[in-house]
Amino acid sequence: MFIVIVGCGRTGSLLAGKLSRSGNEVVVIEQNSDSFALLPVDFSGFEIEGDAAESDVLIEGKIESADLLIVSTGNDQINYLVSQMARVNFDVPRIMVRTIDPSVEKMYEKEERFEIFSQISLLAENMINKIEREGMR
Amino acid sequence: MKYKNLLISRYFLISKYTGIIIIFAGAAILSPLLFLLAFPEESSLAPHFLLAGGLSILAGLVLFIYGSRHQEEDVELSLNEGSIIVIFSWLGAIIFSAIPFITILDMNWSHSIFEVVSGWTTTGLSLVDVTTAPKLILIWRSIMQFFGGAGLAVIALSSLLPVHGMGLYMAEARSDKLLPHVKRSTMLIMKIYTFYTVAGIILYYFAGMPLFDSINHSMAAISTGGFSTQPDSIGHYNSLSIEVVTIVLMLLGTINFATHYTLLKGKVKTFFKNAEIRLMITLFIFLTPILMFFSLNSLYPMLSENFRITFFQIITALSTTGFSTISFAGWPIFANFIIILIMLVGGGTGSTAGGIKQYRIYLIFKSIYWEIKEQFLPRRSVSSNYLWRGENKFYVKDQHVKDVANYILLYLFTFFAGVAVHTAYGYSLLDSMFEFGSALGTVGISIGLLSSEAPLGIIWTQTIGMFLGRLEFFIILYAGIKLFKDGVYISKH
Amino acid sequence: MEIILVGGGKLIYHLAKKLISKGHFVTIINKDRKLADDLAREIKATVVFGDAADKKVLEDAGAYKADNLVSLTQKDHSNLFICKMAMDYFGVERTTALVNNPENEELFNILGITGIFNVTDLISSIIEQSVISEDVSNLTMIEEGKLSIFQVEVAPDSAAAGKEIKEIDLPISIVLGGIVRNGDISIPRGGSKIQAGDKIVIISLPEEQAEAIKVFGGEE
Repeated sequence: MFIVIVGCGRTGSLLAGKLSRSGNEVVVIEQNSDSFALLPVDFSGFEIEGDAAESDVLIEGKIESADLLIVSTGNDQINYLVSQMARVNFDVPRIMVRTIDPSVEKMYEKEERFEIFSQISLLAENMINKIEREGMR
Repeated sequence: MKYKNLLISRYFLISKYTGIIIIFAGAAILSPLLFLLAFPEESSLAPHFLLAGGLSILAGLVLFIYGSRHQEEDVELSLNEGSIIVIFSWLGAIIFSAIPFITILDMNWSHSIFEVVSGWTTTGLSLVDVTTAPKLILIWRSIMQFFGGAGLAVIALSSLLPVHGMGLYMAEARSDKLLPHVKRSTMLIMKIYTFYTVAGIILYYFAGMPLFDSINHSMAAISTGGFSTQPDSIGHYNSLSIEVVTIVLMLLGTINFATHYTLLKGKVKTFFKNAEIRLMITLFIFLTPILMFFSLNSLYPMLSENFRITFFQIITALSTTGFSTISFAGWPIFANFIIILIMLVGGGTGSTAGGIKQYRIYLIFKSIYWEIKEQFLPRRSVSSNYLWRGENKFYVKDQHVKDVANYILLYLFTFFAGVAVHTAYGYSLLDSMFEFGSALGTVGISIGLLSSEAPLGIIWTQTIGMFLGRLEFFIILYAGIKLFKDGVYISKH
Repeated sequence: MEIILVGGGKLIYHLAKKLISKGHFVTIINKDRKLADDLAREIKATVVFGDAADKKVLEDAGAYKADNLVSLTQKDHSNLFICKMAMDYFGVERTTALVNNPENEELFNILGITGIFNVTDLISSIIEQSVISEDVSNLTMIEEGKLSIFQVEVAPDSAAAGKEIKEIDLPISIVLGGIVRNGDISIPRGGSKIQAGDKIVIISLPEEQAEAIKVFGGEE
């Protein structure tokens, strides 16, 4: 699979490393080139330094042929703009977005193509599940 | 203690990977046997190849099984570890592939190792008498160049074998990625490479070369190796069409695979923006007339003949192939000096060629230009310099220029050290520079200094030069230092 | 109308003042404490301190009641995000965003932002106009620059000088709105004759503007 990952922070780099090792073609786009140091040494995909909210940078990352886009910067606003650009301008078939503020999830609801991952909601749900399960005992 | 365990587990992994590659080298040694179908009269030679291949596979299996005992789930090969794997598997491949030369041709160890290193490193200097050598030996020399050109690690990565790791890819002196995944990149490289070789065989055949020679020359040309089945190389055929085919194949071989990929995708503009392509075209435009009119016009009075000969030798030197159509011994000093310079420049990065590499030369000249330009810009102006690499712009940071400058310095240092050894044996300065430049740049043209009577010191200096030139110094340095440090650590604890 | 302005600086200050003087009810959101304080001191508008991309801040600023939200920050992604949030969460009907990267204009349009200020294109077209000819004046853009109205003085060496309008080779999408001669205005017809020194009022698409100026204003 050809995967473009926007944002190479702790989440992005971890995803990029694992996906690359399991045999996928991975391109990582990140504005701060120092962040590429977070990638594992055997990451064999492309690293592109640039602002993902610029069409040219996305095109350099071959977004037109991407099977999956993972948007994982630490900024909800940038994530929103990039994922909408990918959907409207580049027609990417599948877009996974990480959200920081859980209340933002609703903004993506109208489009089926978006899959939303909110780390805070996931964490909270996990904990609540565990608490409730233990409460049943 | 913890670190020691970690180190040891890494060496198990290194042993496993080295084993896999040596097994592969064993399979390569067996591959000339396929040609017994065409030359059944040479079947008496089969046991020699079976012995060499079998030993290699056995050694590889031992390393592999020994390394597999300690199974690591999470493979993450660093460049240093990749370097160790590459060096050891190359050494292994070299030792085992020398066996047929010793047992069949009765050559001594030093000469056999020289011949084999010349093959694997795609140099093309030869001590074998090709007029009497059996066909199997000839094809084995070409096969070594074919696989050596692609690189053992690259072939292993491109195969379905369980070999991974960016470190391994980079350790064989390749940094450009064609596709965003190593396995796919290397597979693509092998596809392009094999396609060119097959096309070369067909072209040679139609240009009038016998089929057996076509197969050998195509493999040797595309790998920029230069082993020939004729004592006077391509000059033997004295055919313009064969020379044209050779020039095309040599050029293809010397161009970076990433650059090929842009061209194959039809991006002609990006292709001509490429740093190496630009340098190459500039060199042709300047050097061909200089050589033709300032040095060789008295030797070859006919203009067309002069051009044909000059252009061919420039390409053979620049692409570090080593085919020739004339004898360099009779050339004027100036012409040979220019050829030495071209050999120092060498081919493209990420190709099968050797030398300092065009990219590094281009970068250094560019950075001199940038430096001058910046002197005349406003003092506070900020500039970000770039050049074209593969399909994309590459922004050059100072650190990168420093790395490249260091490499060039180290290369020249080694060059002069090798030349010094040659002169110590009493050869003239020009001959020494020519011969060692040819060996270090894995070119393979000779001014006539090399023969089986040459002193052993010279043979070994050139062998080491070829090895250093192919695997790029730093890799060997990294591997050596890491081995030394780890060894000291393990023995202390 | 209830209008929410997001951003800071002189632009917001003057915009707010103008809107208030026209009788609109204005709320300003700014995430810089100092700027928010300054604005509150100088303008008779509600100033909310906070990040407008935060749902709670928008709600606090009265987004449920707002008829129009204008986001004028320097970051396209913030402007889009704030406008979309106002639309999706609070049902604000009209939103206006500043677009710094002209390539984003179309995307913003598709995503339903009703008013788009494309600063780059706006400024560059103004610069181009002033470079082409100093005889061009009264440049007005309608519908965010989709139509422009301007006035050109006819140069003696121009293609149009001394000709009747029907003789002049003009692109179809250019409409002549009036001829000003010695202070009198006449409505042009096919037979009207153009003289050097006339001022022609022209309505055209922005991309045809240069063509029209060339015909009447003459070559450089």
